Amino acid sequence: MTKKSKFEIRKPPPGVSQAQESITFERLEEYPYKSVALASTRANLTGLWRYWRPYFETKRAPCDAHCPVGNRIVDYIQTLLDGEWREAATILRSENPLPAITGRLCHRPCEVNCNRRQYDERIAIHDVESVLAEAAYKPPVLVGVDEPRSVAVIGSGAAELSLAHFMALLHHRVTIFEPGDQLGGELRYGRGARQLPDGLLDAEIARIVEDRVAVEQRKVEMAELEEEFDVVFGSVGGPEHLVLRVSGHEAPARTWDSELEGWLADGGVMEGAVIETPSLVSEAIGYGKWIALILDAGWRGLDAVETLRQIAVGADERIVSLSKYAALLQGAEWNQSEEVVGYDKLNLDLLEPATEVTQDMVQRGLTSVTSRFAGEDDVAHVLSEAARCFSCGRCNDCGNCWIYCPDGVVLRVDGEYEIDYDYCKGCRVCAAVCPRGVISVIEEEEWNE
Amino acid sequence: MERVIMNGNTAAAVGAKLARTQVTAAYPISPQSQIVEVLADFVASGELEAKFIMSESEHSVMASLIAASEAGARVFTATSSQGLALMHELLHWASGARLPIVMVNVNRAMSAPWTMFCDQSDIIAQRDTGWLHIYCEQNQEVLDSVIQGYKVAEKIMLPVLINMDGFYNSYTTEPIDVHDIEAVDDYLPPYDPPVKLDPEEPRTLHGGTGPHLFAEMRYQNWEAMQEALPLAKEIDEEFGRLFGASYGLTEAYRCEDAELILVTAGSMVGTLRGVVDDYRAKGERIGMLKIRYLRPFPVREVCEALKPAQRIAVVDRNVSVGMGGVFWQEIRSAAYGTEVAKKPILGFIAGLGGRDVTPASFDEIIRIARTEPRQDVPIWIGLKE
Repeated sequence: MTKKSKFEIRKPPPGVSQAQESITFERLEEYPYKSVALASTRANLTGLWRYWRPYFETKRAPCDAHCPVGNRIVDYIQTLLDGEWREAATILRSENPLPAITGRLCHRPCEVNCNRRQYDERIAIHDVESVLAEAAYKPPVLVGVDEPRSVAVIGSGAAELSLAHFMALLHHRVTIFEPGDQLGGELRYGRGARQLPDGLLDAEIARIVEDRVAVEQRKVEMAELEEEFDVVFGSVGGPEHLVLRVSGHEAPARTWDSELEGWLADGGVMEGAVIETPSLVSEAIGYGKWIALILDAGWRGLDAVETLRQIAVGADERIVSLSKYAALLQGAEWNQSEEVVGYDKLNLDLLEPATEVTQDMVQRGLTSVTSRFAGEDDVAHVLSEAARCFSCGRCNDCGNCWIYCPDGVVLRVDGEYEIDYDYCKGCRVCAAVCPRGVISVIEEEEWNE
Repeated sequence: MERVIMNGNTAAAVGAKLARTQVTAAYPISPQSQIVEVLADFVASGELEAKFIMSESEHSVMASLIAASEAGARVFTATSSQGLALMHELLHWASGARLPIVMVNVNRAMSAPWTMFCDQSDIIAQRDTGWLHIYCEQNQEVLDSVIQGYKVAEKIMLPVLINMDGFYNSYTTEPIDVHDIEAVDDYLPPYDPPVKLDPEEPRTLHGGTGPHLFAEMRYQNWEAMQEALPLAKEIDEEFGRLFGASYGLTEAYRCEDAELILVTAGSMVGTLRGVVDDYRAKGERIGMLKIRYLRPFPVREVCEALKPAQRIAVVDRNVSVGMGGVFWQEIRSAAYGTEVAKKPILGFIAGLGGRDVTPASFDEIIRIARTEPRQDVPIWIGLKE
C-alpha cells in the first residue's frame, strides 16, 4: 500500500490495535517517518526484566514504636488531617483508654523520638491527643468469648483502670474495688493531678466504667477475692505495690519477661518490683493493657509467645496493640510491618509542603469536638501540628511514586496505589522518591521463594 | 523592518523571537549565555509568548526540548563547546526522532586546556549526529538562518544546528535588519507536526526496534537529508525575494576564472572576502568558496565551484587530530573521482582557540598554496617554531 504523503502514519491493520501482536513492514513505503508505535506495546512484558521488586509496606513511625500505651499516633494524626475526626478519635480510643490524661501527664517518649525533631521541631503530639480525646468516637467491638472470666481490680489508678477497661472490652466481668471516696487513685491524688482540669478525670473514668464495669467502694482483702475471682489485680498496701493473682494454671505458659514468665508458670503472685515504673502514667496504662491481652489470649487457647510476636508494636514486646489483637482474633490480616522508619529512612528532599489549615478544616473539627476542655484555638493548633506530621512509614497519598515512576506503572486507584508488575522493571525510583519510607524493595528471587 | 545595531548573540535571540519560538530551555555557557538571557527578557516582558525552562544541564536542555517538540511546540536553544558536547547523545535522539529543533551554537574550542575562545572543534564533533549544519559568516545571516532553519526543519522533520563564531560574531556588533514579524509569519507558518504527543491518543515513541526494522528508519533520515539540499536552496531563495538577503548552500565568490580558490566557513569568510578583493584589485586570480551547509553537504555545488581552480586551499578552524581539518577532508571526499581531485588540495589549520586569522594569515596561506605540492598532512598557520 502506498502512503498519501511521506509523513502519513498508517493505521494498524484490523485486529492488531490492542492485541499482543506485532506488526512488521515488508516495504520501505510502509514505514512511518518516525518510530511511533502503531499498535499497543503491551505485548512486551517488561516486568520480566525486573531484578528488584518494589512493594508498598506500611511501617512504624518512631512515635508509635516508643509509645508505652501502643497508640497508633500517625494513624490518628493523618486521619484527623483528612477531616475524619470521629474515625481518628476511634483509633486513639481503641488503644488508649485515658487519652485526655496521657495527653497532659505522659512523659512523651513519642515526641522525644519524633523524626521531625531532627528536622525543625517535634510535633506537639500530646496536644493532638488531648484535643482528640474530646471528640466523639466509636468503641471497638471485639470477638466474644465462650467463657467470660471474672476479674477483680483493687484500686483505680492508671494500670487498674486500663486493665479493667480492656478486660471489659474483651467481654470479661470486671469489678473495681476502691476503698476511697472516688475512683482515680494516683491520677486523682498524685503529683500530676493538679495539671488536670476539674472534671476531666471524672469524664474519662465514666467512659471506662459506663455500664461495663462494676464498682464497689469498699476496702477488701486479697484473700477474700481469690476464691470468687479468676483474676485479682491491683494495688495492695500502697500504690507502689501492684499484685496479680491468676487462679489455676491457665495463665499463658511463656511471656516476654523471664521473671514474669516464671511467675505466670506458677500461676502465682507477682509483687511490686516486677512492675518497674507504675509511676509513669502511660507505662502503667500499657502494663494494664499488656496483662489483659496476654491473659485473654491464654484463655482463648492462643500461644502467648506467638501472640505477643503478632501484636507487639515496633521491636518492644512490652508494647501491645489492641487493633492488631482484634485482627488476630478475627483471623484478619494486619498489613503493617513493625520496621521502624527512622530519620535516615526519610527522603526529605522530596517532602511535599505541609497542608494549609483552612477555616473549613477547623469548623469541621469543631463539629466533632464538643467539650469545654477543647476550643476553637485548640482545634486550629492541633490541625496545624497534624499538618506538619511527616507521616513516617504511612502513605499519605503524596503521589511522588506515581509522578516519578519512569514507566508509568505505579497506578493510583481511588487514592490507593498499586504497581503493575507486568511492566515494572524494578528501577526502584518509587522507593527512592517516597519521602516516608513506605515502599520496600526485595530481590525478585527472594520474593518468589 | 528596522535596522538595529546588535551583536550576534542578540541577533540569534531576535531570530528566535521572530520565528515565534514557543519553548526555550537553557543552561548558560560563554560565549552563548547572552542569547538565552535576551530570550528570557523577551519572555519576561511578554514580547515573546513562550515557556522558558531553566535547566540543570545542557543534557536536560535537549531532553526537555525533545519532549516539548514531540508535544508539538516550536523550540529553540543555544549552547557552546562543552555544553554542546554534553548534549551529544540527545542530538542523535532528536534527529532520529525527526524533531525540527533549531539550535544555535556559538562555537568555542573544546577544552582541555580550558579556554573560552573561538574555534569550530565543538560543532565539528557533532557533524554526524544527523542534524543540518549551517555555518554563518556574519550576524544578519545568523538571524536569517534561524528563521530559514525552522522552515527547512519543519518541511523535512530534521533538526538544525546553526554555527556562529564565538567572539567574532557573538560579541561583535553590526547593523542588523530586524524583519517585520508579520512578514516572517507569512514566510514561516505555525508548526503543525504530522504526529505529536497527545494524551487523548497515547502512543509509544521510539521504542525498542529490532534489526529487521532499524536500517529503514535510518535510511529515511538519509532520504530527508538528501531532500533538504534542493529544499534549503529554494527556501533560501524565497527568503531572498521577501527579505532581500539570501546566502545559498555555498557561495562561490569571484571563482569563475580563479587559479587559486580558498575554501572556508564561519567568520573567516568575511576576512577572506576582503583579501580576495585586494588580490583581484592587483589582477591576481584568487577566489573563495564559502561553505554554509556542512550537512547536507552540497557535493555537486562544491565540485562545480572548484572546477576553474588550478589549486585549492581549505582553511579549517578545527582539527581532527590524526587526519587534518574536517572541511579539508570533506572537500577531498566530495571531489573524489572528479577533475577537481586531480589538482592539489591543500589543508590549512588556522585560528584555533581564538587566535586571530588576519589578512596577513591569508597572505601566508596564499603564498604557500601557490607553490607547495600536494600534501598528506595539514599546514599549520601562525604556529610558533
